[in-house]
Amino acid sequence: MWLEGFAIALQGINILHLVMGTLIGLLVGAMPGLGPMFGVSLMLPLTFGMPAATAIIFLSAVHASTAYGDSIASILINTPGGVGSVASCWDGYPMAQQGKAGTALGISSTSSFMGGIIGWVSLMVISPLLILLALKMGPPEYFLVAIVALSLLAMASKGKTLVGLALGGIGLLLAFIGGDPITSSSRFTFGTEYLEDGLPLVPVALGLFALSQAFVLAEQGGTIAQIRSIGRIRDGLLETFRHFTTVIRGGIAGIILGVMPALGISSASIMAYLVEKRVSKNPETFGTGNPRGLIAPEVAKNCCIIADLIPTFTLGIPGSSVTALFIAALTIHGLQPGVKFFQESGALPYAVFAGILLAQISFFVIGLLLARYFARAVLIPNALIVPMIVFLSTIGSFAMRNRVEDILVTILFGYLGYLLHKKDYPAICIVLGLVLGDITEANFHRAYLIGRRSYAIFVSSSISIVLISITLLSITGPYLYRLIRKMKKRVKM
Amino acid sequence: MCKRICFSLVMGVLLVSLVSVDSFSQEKFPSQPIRIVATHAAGGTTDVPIRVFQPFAQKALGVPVVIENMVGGGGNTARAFVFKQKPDGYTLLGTKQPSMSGGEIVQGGKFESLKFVAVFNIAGKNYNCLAVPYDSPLKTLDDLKKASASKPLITAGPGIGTNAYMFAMLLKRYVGINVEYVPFDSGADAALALAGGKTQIGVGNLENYWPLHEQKKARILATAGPERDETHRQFPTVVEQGYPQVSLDEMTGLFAPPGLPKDRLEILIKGFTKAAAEPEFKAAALKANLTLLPLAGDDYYKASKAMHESVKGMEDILKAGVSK
Repeated sequence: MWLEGFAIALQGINILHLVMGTLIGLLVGAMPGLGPMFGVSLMLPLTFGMPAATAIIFLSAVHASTAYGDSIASILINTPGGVGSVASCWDGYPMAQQGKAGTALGISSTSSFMGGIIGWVSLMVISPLLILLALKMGPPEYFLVAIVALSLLAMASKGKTLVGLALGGIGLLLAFIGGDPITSSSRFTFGTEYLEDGLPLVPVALGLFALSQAFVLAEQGGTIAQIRSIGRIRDGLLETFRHFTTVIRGGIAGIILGVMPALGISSASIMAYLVEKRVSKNPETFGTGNPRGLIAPEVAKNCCIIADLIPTFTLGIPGSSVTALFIAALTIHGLQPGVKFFQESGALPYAVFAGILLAQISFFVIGLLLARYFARAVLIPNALIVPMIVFLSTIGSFAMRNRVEDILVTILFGYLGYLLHKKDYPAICIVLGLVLGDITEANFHRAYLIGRRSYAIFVSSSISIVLISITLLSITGPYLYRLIRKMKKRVKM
Repeated sequence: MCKRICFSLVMGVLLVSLVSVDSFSQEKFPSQPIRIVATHAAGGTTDVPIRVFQPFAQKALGVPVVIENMVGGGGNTARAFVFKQKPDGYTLLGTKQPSMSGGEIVQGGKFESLKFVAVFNIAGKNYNCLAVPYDSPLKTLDDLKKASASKPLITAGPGIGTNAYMFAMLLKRYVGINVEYVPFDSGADAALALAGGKTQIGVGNLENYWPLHEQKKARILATAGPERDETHRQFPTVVEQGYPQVSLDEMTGLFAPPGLPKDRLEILIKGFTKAAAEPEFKAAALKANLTLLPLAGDDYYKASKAMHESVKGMEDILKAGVSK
């Protein structure tokens, strides 16, 4: 069956769609703010006329390469290509500035590819186990996952712990704008319909990172790369293989967060980054172009988008809004995802999975081939690149929901981001607060209702206890470590 | 980089051409692309009927028909947006009823459902269902009623004001199942919480629960429609179990902002009716598991109004279910 599946996936027409999907995905992904969701929903109607296998292979290619392409803008111009690649800016862009844009793109292609492969193997081999985990997770556990992430907030603050925590708090406050996720009553909306749905993440991130960066570059003049070099792409490939444990850690974060329908690529990549920084012996080098700070989120992101498919193919329900589109594509072709998918549809499901694997290979090869040309962006004078960043971030902000107000949000946060940059305050913390605020609040309230208004629900499962212990360890860990070292020294004396 | 510049140039040229089309050709309708603003994300139960219909509508009207998903506020963001648009027939709303009325009445959406011009309904009968975890000892409506007498049953569902929410509130009032409604971000999230045994009841779209029922992770007890669902005839309705008031029909169709000129409405209705009659459209709809319910103009308005009034009649129950 597998051979048959690969034979279908490797037919000329399917290969053609695979390459086309990859190129379209790269183009959409490289546009600031436009991520996999945008790419796949844009392409979905085109697949209605295609044979089922071709349609899914095409969408898989768009999906995988949009997620990969998202990182290109993050690395080269510090502009998140989509919600999943915010964390890729943090070490990717400093590398580009140091004249290693090509190396960073090499790392990004290789890590994304490895993430995709880890995700694919998990989808094939351990999805029944992972789905058991997903079923065990409920609102109390989701709330505690968010708390674990919040406990890592100080790690993101580049040594300015207090400022970082304060900015994280501001991010959380901003997350509370809009309709209450449970009671649906409006808060802090000043009577405007625009704020009913809360502050949109992409326009905020585009402002804080991209637009503010445009202001900074305009001031600096010259080019993004401070030395006239882009580094070697091959070095990036080797660098990724050298940090194999980082790849594995990123992969685990991607799978676990991906398989949980309530969490997505933004939390996966950020969590992977923070965990990597947490376990590093030199956390101070993160944010200054440490390759591990780029490998971890890249692996996690692409691993997560495949893990998102696990609930889709094992349970028949979508793991994310993008996989909801996959389900739509399958149903429109008369296929029903779920356990019977393999039993009833002959070689087709195998072709679909072969296609998902080929999509990873396709973006990896095409990405590596094109990286050299993409990387040259950092050698373009800022006088040319700045207007382009302003233009692209405005388009990206608008295109998500076609709302002019989103552009205003980008401009406002662009100015705020610029001020923070001047003071060397970590703007990342605001984004973290914003991403986690929603998950924290909604799941806290949900858990409280499920627990019949008793807080005991938060300690009622073994997963909860593990998560609470991780949080406590992550907060007290550094102090405990120092204490133990001191005690050891004393014993030696 | 070159590619990106080319792309920007193409986008620029496209924008300029759109603007010039706008200013020079106003007399013939339709002469510009028609935009359908869908209330929910691409691939969802609101979006799919519109997407399947779109290529045929495009062919019948002779201009591009573009779907735009304006997600947010449980659909209210898109509804409020279209409500304020110029009634020129070029911007339409793609939404479900009675969830539009629910959004207005329960959540206080900034639009008036009955002032929208009803253009064309595409599909119907996308029923909700009531499910319990597979190993739950509660297997009938009576079991649920008895079990909830001492304390409310925790019920997972998608959002406040949605059709599933209305179904839960009807069960509370007319069947006497005391529910504590816990809203989740999506129907899929709610269904997973139920399958994982986190809640005692789950309400939501049949499509979300059917795969879980098949895998013995959830058990569907009843559906919300006035009659059994055509594709899942094995599930009884709540109505046939002796509760005629618990009946919730659904429609997915297109509305225009208030004040759409009559001549333009007629052109749209003519085009959409022609599109809906295409055998290829019917085949595509069948493949996508859609139950078609073509209703145009006045007929559509009447059906939508009846749904609105039934929601209005439940206003007190619907508002009472919002947990604080």
